[in-house]
Amino acid sequence: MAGLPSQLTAQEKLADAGQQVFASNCAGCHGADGHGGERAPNLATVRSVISKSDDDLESIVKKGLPGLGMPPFAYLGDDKVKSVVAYLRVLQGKTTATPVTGNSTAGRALFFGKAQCSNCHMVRGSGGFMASDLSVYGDGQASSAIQHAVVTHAPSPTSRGVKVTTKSGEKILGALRAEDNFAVTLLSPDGSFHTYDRAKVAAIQYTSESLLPKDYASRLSPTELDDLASFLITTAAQASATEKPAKRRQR
Amino acid sequence: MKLTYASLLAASLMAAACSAQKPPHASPPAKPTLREDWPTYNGDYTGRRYSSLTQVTPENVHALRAQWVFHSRNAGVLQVTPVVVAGVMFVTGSNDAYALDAVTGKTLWHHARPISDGLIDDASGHINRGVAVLGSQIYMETDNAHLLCLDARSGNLLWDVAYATGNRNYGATSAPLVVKGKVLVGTSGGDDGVRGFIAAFDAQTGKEAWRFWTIPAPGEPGSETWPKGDIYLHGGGTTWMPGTYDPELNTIFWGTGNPSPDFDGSVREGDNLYTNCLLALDPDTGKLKWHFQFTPHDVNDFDSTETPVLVDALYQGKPRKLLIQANRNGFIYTLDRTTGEFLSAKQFSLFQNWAKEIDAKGRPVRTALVPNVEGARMCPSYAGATNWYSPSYNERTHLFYFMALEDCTVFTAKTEPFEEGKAYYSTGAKHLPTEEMKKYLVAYDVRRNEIAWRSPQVGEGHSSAGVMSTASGLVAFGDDAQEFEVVNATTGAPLWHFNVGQPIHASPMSYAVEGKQYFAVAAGSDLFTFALP
Repeated sequence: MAGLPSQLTAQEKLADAGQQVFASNCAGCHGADGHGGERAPNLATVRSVISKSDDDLESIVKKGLPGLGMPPFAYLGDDKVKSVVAYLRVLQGKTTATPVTGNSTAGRALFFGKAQCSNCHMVRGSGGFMASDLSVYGDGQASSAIQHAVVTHAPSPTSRGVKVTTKSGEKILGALRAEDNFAVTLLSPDGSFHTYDRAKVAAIQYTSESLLPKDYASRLSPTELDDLASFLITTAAQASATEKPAKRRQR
Repeated sequence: MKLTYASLLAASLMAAACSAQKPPHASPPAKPTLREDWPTYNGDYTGRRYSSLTQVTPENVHALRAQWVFHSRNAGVLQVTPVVVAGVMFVTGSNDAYALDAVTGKTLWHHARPISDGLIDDASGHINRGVAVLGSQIYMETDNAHLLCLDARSGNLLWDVAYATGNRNYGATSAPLVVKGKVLVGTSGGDDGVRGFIAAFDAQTGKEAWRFWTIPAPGEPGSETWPKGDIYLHGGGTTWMPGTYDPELNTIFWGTGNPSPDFDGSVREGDNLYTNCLLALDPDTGKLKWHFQFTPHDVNDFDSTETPVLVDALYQGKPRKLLIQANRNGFIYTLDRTTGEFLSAKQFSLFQNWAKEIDAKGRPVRTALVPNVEGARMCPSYAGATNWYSPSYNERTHLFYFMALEDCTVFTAKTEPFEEGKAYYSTGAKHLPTEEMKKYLVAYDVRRNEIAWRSPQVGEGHSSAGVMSTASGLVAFGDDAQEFEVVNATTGAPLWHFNVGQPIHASPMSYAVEGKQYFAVAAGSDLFTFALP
């Protein structure tokens, strides 16, 4: 039943009101979708804008940016300014409240227990360091999408594995951290970084998949997968604005 | 996953062709000998910036050449001194931290955090001078005075503590210092009416252990040096550079900044403790052991945050635990760091007109000049006869090296109200068009209490690059003409230079990986490294 006007949250009502304010005051320069135009920049997908707090954005709307040609909009009044920022959040995809369908407490127990996610992944300072930090991974993601990612564990550029075979036949497997035509650097599970000169090893193989296991579809029940996804969604919802847009490990 | 993990672990044993970098695991730099690692902002706890590495010598330094360049895409000017532990280099720029392979310069991880809005003055420049390391964790301050704990292997955020609240003029620019399992931090904002402090946090949990306010509250010792009322809440005395630490004395030494407002002394009659001081604190409790005030009732922005360097040397024929600081006010001070006793103050600036002398107790005897409504030309300038750029003490030459600035400015003062969101200088300092700034590399002979040599630098005086020295008899520094330069530590004779193409506002360091010695220095938004072929 979500979506009926009577059931809109306060925030949704505010954004709804802001849509009209945006259309008549902002869209002319920033574009109807906030992606920018000839006269003003993209507000919808640029990290430096997304990461600003509501207070900061409201202050910019009110005062304008005189040096950059943006006029002040304080005359709209506090309510309209608030509403336009709320609508901007919709354009940025930051307010889409993702429905939590599972039990996130049970999901947390799975993350740090049976599912063994925390062997490699970290959430809010707890867990492993080999794979990505998942503290804000659930931000704006649907439970089904997260479950799909867990089950397939599709490789991403930042979780590429690499296997180095030395001339003495030793094999070292780790997560790729840096490379060029002359060397590769990997992080091994003991937490140490290793750089290998390409000319001095027997072979360097990139694993076509990530280092992660693919048997979650059989290891976890549908309910457990939903709980796990719900844990990641609720965790991301608790993160502050400064954390959200940051990619925790950029290479 | 279990299987993968078991095989990964088995395979992770070191291989012959591998340049193995052990997990970053720094033991506290208790022994004051810097070798391969450079584990803190100043290298070790003494603040000497003296490397015992000897591969690069006066004889072979001419062959030094660039190894790699790191470019920070989203920071302004880098003022960082990199920290190196076991072949991994940690660099910060604005609120971002990077781990680099110290041999190749490649980025191992990048912790990205947006810069903060609404900051003023120094904090709005988003300056960051580097990290502290303990075990597999690193610590950094953010522009808006949060202490971050990051995992050294992944860059993941472990915790985040906002440590300066109640006045939005606070900011932070410094590198933290880890002492006995605690992380010590300070703030910026001393020109903006904040109340300075040093705070210590548990390195594992981030829980606050103690906080020493540099401006005493009414009724506390030192409060008699301020007028009554709430001026103490805006008194300055900030702590924007890392201190030093003597494990034997169980004492940390920390310099404090100028009183606020900077130039208008009329609203803060008295000595204004503990501004422009050297504080000796107990690292376990934060209790004050002793203090020494360099410039009581400062009206010229003479912060005393320059590195307090710990030197064990013969003083007048007797071995003594000394503390040496080249101060912004134009004098170089020697204190007994056990007791805080003043031993000497030697004028190093060629010209100054604010003090007739420093008396036998270390207190300046002022001239009649003070900032006023019309403006008074005073020297050193508000930028100081030296500043935060690092000094170095070399135990072989017994010389103390630092960069000095000859400069004068016209100081004006007018009473203004404090306001959050605004700087609190109570007017300003202006350069006369006829005034020329000039930098010098100065070598001070600690045993003789005299200037050994003074090397004039070509340039316009706007750089803020520091100094380091090595056991092989080299002094490395950023000169005033956009060059990273190495000179003979005994004579000051230039030996080698490299044009980095942009002004240097950072202090150099040296490290080694697998027997190869490197120098590193940040310039502009880049970091350069050098080594022999």
